[in-house]
Amino acid sequence: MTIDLSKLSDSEFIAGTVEDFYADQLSTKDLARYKKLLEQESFKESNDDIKETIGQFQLAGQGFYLTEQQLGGLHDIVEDSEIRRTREVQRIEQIGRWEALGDFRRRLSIVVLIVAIAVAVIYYFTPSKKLPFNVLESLSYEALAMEDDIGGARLDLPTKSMLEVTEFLSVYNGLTYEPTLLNSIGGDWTVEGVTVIDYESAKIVALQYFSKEYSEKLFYFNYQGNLSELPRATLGNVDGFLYQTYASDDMNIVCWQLSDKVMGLIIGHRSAVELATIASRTMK
Amino acid sequence: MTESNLRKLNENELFFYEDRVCGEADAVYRFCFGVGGDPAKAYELVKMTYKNAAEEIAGLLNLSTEEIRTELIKISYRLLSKDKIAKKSGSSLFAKYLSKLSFEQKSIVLAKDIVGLTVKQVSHVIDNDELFVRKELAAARIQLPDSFGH
Repeated sequence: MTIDLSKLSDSEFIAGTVEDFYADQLSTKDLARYKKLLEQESFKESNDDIKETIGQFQLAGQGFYLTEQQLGGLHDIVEDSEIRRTREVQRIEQIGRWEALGDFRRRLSIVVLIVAIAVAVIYYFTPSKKLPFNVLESLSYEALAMEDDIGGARLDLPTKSMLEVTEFLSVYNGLTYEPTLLNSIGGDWTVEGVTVIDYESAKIVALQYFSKEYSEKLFYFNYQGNLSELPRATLGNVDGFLYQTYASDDMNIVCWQLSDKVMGLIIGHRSAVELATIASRTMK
Repeated sequence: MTESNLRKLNENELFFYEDRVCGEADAVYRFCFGVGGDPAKAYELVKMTYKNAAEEIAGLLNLSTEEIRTELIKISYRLLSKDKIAKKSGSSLFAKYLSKLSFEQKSIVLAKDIVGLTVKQVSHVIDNDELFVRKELAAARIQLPDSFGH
């Protein structure tokens, strides 16, 4: 509730509200009264004197304080000094233990962070293991060669039966991985045969397909490898199926990770998206 | 030695007493010394104030620092009001500076200008209205000497 300062005489008003005036805490009415009084020389003088006196008084008051011993006497009111000292020692020890534990945690965190950074650096900057052959270059060449091979001489087993392809591969010696075959790649694509390209250090399974509608061939390869071993390329996504695409003069190449260590690769004249749609069937 | 008739404070109350209540001890001492004028007597009053505060600790636990300070000064004022010797000005130089002031005026000007309470808080301490506080504060300030020896 605001008090009615009009009941104060002018000198009481000045002396009793001086700090409120300078802190801008007077009401509009009281502020106007104060300013009006300050226009009078006598009140201006008493205002200055009061300000000075309060300052001197406050300064003098700051010189009085309790000694440590006296403060200890106040603590003794609620707790024996010996017990308090013991409790403080225990508290300091407890804080010390927490500090030590915190220090250990901080050191451990730093070590973990350094190890994590080192692992990340090794992972990202160590050159990927090189394949024993240049995948894109070699398989593009193989695809072109098989496309030009009218009689099917480059096929180990010319056949239109996927069952025969499967049997052929199951008895083939020297494959260090299990190829993933497609019974149907959709459209009017039909299998024309299978071959295993032997680079001595790597064996590549290759299936040849043909479309009467497009009158063109399409080649599906499996080899042991990893997507990260290929040059970086634009990532594609067909309904959640992730792949990388490359293009040669007139053919598109779609690559994807078939399984942990096996790569799938399709080369053909169809668009990258069409080839990726065919490739995505291997993952269903 | 712990005051024998004081109940044992729990750990939370002990920490509060030592940290928050004892943190105001110098302000309480200045008030008691200013009103009473004798250092030894002032310390005795501070101790009595703190014994009372420890007994009433539950009522202080949720207060702000300003509110704790106000309650401590209120206890001191209550004790001083009952102490006829303390109400008389002591022999210290500071007491002489304040010797012209009445007990109420000393209490008000010390609570306001030395302890730093607001007029509203001072009115709570002395249990009187704010206009009275303003009047007595003004009278006390007018009677204060120009210099305090420094």
